[in-house]
This record gives sequence, C-alpha cells and structure tokens, in this order.
Amino acid sequence: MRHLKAWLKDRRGAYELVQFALVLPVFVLILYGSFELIKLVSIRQSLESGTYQAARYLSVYHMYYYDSQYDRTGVDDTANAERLIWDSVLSNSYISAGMPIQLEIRYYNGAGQEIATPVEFPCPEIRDALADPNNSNLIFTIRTRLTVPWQTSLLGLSMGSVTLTSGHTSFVDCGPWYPPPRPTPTPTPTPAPEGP
Amino acid sequence: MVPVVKWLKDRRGSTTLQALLFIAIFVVIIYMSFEIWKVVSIKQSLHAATYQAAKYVALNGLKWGISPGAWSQQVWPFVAAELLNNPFVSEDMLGPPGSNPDIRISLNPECNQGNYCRRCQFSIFVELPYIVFVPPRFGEDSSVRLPLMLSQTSRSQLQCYD
Repeated sequence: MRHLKAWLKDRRGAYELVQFALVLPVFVLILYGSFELIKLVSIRQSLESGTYQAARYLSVYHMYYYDSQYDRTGVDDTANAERLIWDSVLSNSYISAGMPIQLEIRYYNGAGQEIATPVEFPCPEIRDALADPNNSNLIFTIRTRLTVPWQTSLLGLSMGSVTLTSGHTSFVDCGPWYPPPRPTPTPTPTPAPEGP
Repeated sequence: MVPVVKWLKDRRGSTTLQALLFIAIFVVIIYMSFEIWKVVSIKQSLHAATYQAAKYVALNGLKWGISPGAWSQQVWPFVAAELLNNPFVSEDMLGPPGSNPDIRISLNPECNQGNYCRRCQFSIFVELPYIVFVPPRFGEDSSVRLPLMLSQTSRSQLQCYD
C-alpha cells in the first residue's frame, strides 16, 4: 500500500505521459485514415484504368468494321468495352465479386450531350469527311461513377458512402484514309541495257 | 521583474501549447498534401489530353490542312473535354477557346515540302495555369497565391495512305 501511494505521488514522467496520451489518438487516427485513403485511391486508380481502356477500345472498334468480314456489332463492342471497366474494378484486391457494386457508365458526344453508345458513330466517306472537316461527332466521352460498396468509417464513426468518378475523352478512329495532297509520280522507264 | 521570471519558470500548460503547435503544423501538412495531389492529378489529365490530341491530329490532320492554327482550333475542344473530366478543373480555369490554356502546335520544316506521309512530325504543347493557395504564415492575414504553369508536350507524326 505504501509503495502504491508513493508511486501515485511520484510526478516524474508525467509530462511525457500526458504528451503521449495526446499524440496517440492523433497517430492512430492518421494511421487508420491513411489505410482508408489508400483503399479509395487504389479503387479510383482501377476505375480510371478501366475507363481509359474502354475509351481506347471504343476508339478503335466501331462501325467502320461492321461488315461480314469482321463479324462485329455495336452491341457487342459496347458490352466488351464495359466488361473492360468491370474487369479492371473487380481485379482490385479491395473489391470482391460478392460485393454489391454500383457502377454507372454514361456516354457523351463532342457537344456534351448524352448518347446511347459511341459505336454508332458512322465513319464518313472520304468525300464527306473532306466536305465537313470539323467532324466533331467523332469525339466522345465516357464517364463512370462507382459507389464504394461499404460505408467508410473513421474509428467507428460512419462517414457515409463514397462515390468515385472518372472520365475519358477519345475519338472514333476512322483514319488514316485521307490521301496526301501530292501528285502521283510518273514512272520513268529504266533504259534497257545495251547489248554487246 | 520578479513576475516575469516567475512566469518564465512556470511550466504549467506547456504540453498543451506544444500540442497546439503540432496540430497547426499537422493541418498545414494535410492541406498542402491535398493541394499537391490536385496538381499531380491535373498534370495527369493534361498528359492524357495532350497524348490523345496528338493521336487525333496524327489521324485527322491532313483533312484540316497543314496549318498549326487550324489544328489548334480542332484540338481545343478535345483537350478541354479531357481536362474537364478531372473534377479539379473547372470551366473558369480554362477560359474561352484559344485564350487559356495556351495550345501551341509546331511542325517540323519537312511538312511544308509535300512529304506529308513520311516526315511530317509535329509537337503539341499545352499550357495550363493553376493557382495554389498557400496558408498564411504566422502574423499574416491572407493566404499567398502561388501561380503554377503546368505544361505538357506530345510528339507525333501525320499518318496517311501512301
């Protein structure tokens, strides 16, 4: 009992103890917050990568190839592009397949109006393209919104659900089919070697 | 004189004072990390926009004519659309077309000699001004505006059928 009283009355180290008690919760908060942030940044990165790949896919594959030779359809291509986004998100280690993921994918044209899908853009014929060189309808944007499938919390306090967004602008890659404006060179006949 | 000496020797509340100082520094570090993250994010968007714009010009440049001015006009909405996909970029930051950001396209001399398909290389240079608000120092009322000029260059070559 005497030892306990002496220990309680001993003020040595009190300053450090109070300082430690003040710093510890802040430190734990930073550590936990950093981990939550890393998770969100990682998922955002996956969403960004998927959106970029989908934009690139739709830029390359489009109506230009829709003939019997390639056996492609616009519906297939849109589904393939969206699968790229889903694959990228699902391959993230913080997301498992069983989670209820809300992923919204929207398409916009060059004027900023929402469209069903960019694969329906026709690649113009050469003469049409030269007649209307602006061709702003070739530009499209994909915007994605992913609601994180869990409630973000900080030390037990719910911070609500987080929605991550991403977007990429690209263009329907119809070219290059424009012939260069230069004259066709006239072939010069090679003189036949003279016989002996 | 004695009260001053006594006050200086009084150690009560020093821990609180130290904690306050640390918290202030910590808040500034968090804020500046966020600002740096914004700048890096905008720089990434600028890179994506310039790269896509170079590809756009490489495939479609010939139908607009070999003219850096015409190319800039065509590329502007494209670059702006890509930059506006970034939540940290607003339309106010971009301003009216052609004025801000500054898009400069340069061509190599080979382009003017009709050798379009082989040697017409070009570069696209995009500049985007951005202002970082630095928190005020002790004793100052207003924050400091730190103007940054973010820039990106992409090089490419005209593509066409021979």
